[in-house]
Amino acid sequence: MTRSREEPGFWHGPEESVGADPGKLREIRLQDMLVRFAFGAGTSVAAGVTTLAFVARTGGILLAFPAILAASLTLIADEETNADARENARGAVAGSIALTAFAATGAILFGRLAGTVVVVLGAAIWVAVAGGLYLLLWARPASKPPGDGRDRRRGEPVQR
Amino acid sequence: MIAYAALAVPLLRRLDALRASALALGVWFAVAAVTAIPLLA
Repeated sequence: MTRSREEPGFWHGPEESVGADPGKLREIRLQDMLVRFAFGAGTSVAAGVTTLAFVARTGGILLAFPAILAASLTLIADEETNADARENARGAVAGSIALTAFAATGAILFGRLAGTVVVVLGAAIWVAVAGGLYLLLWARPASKPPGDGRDRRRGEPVQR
Repeated sequence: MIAYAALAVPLLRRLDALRASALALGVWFAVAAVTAIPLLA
C-alpha cells in the first residue's frame, strides 16, 4: 500500500512529468469503470429528478456533486496509495475551479447563443482555465522539489 | 466541489479513503446548502 517516494505539497509541482503511457490502459479494470459510471449516472439521474421536482437551479447544484471524484479517490487509494489519491485531489481543485468557469459561461450565454456553441465554448474555457492553473501553480520553473532542504545527491544542505 | 477536493487532500493524509471521502462529502453538502440559500431565495 505504501510506496517509497516523497510526496510534493500543494504548491509544489508533481515529481512525475506530464506524459502518456498507453500501456497502462491495460491495467484498467472494468469493475472500476463501472463503479465510476454508476456514481456519475446516479448523480445525473438525481440532478434530473431534482430539476423536475423543484427548479432547474436545485438540479444544477447536484450537477457539481463530486460523485466520480469521490468514487475515484476511494478506488485509487485502495489500489494505489493514499498519496496517489491526494495527488488526484490536488488536481481536482484546479479542475473544480475550471468547472465553475464552465458553469458561469453557461449561465451567461444559454439563451443568447445556440446550445451547442455554448457547450463547446464552455468546454474550451474549462480547458483553458484548468490547463492555465496547472501551468501557473505546478509547472513554474521556480517550483522546488519537496525535500528536507538537503541536496539529495550528496545529502548536504542546499545553498539558497 | 472545490471544497471537497481541497478538503480531501488533508483528510486522506489522516484517515482511510472511505472515511475521508465520506467526511468530505458531508462538508460538500454543508457548503452546497449554504451556497444554495442565496441562489434559491
